[in-house]
Amino acid sequence: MERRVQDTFHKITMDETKKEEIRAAIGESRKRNYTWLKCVAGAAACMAILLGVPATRQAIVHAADYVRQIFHTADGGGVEYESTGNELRFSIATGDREYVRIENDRIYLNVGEEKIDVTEACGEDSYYRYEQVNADGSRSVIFVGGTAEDVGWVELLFDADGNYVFNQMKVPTDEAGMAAGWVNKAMHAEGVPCGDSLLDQELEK
Amino acid sequence: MNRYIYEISKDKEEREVKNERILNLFDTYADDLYRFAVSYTGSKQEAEDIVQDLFLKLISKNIILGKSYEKAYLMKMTANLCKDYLKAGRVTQTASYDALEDYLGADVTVTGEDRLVYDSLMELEEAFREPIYLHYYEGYTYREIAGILQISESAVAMRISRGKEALRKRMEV
Repeated sequence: MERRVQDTFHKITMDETKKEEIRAAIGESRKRNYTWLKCVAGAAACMAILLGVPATRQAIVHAADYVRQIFHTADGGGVEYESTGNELRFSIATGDREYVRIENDRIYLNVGEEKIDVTEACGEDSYYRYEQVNADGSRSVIFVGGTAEDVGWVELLFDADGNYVFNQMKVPTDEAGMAAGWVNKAMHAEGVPCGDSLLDQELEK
Repeated sequence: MNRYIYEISKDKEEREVKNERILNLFDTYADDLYRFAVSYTGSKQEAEDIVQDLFLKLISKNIILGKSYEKAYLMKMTANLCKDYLKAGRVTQTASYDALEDYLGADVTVTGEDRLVYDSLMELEEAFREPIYLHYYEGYTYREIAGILQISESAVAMRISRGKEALRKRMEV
């Protein structure tokens, strides 16, 4: 039986044309994937919060326009862009506030003075969306998703022109580093690349 | 308040080394991952997309894999992606061997035995099919399969035992 399965499946190989396509996609992605060097994180390096500036050429171009501009997140933190010669520096300050709190198996979103029960909107593939517009016209969009046992949040920042400039998130991932389904779904719905090639391709159309 | 500073490194040499590493991984494992994805989803098209998705994820997440566990890790990622695709309803139907045959290499001789083995295996429930494939084709131990499919070792043993029996019956028909 073992030999029969081996003989059969050994004949199944990926189409060479498709392989070339994927090699090209890998090459193209590498060009757009800048290396992030994390420094000055100090004792906070073990925090489970992920911070990300979109590593796309378009975002970098936007960033270059924001020399020393500061964007504020809803938790009181923010991101400051600074162009330094051949490098762009993103200085990110995380706020002290935790957006999500679990009380009696209910999920609450805490933003400013607001405390919203978002339990019903949240699930493995569903999320609650909250938007806050700042005085300078920039927007902070917060998603809360998951269950009381594995809840998480994602915050996306957009400038006054609607360009996506920054995200921070605290989301559970599996052993392979995959985030829950609601994360990709929420980012995609907001028009932001999430790393899922199929969804991201749709955005490019 | 915690402050982080990220810098964009434009070091060309570093980028090229990483690029080379990912491409080497692709060249080494593309067929293995593709076969596994085909056995999981039964679809050539989805299997190709899954393999592409996997490598783009490796890049976007900047994942560095150690030599000793890289294949098992890639197989686990493939299994997770296959689950996601099936869950999302992206795979609508499992194709028979005939649908796959057109895309095999020109030098490949297809036999009736190939059709029988492939179609019999694909008729098994997914829960039985994957452990059987990983054990028979890839030669993984029960423990390794448990790690890839994220189920217990005893569940792997049970599924292989029952799957083997079901496969034998189908192939005898």
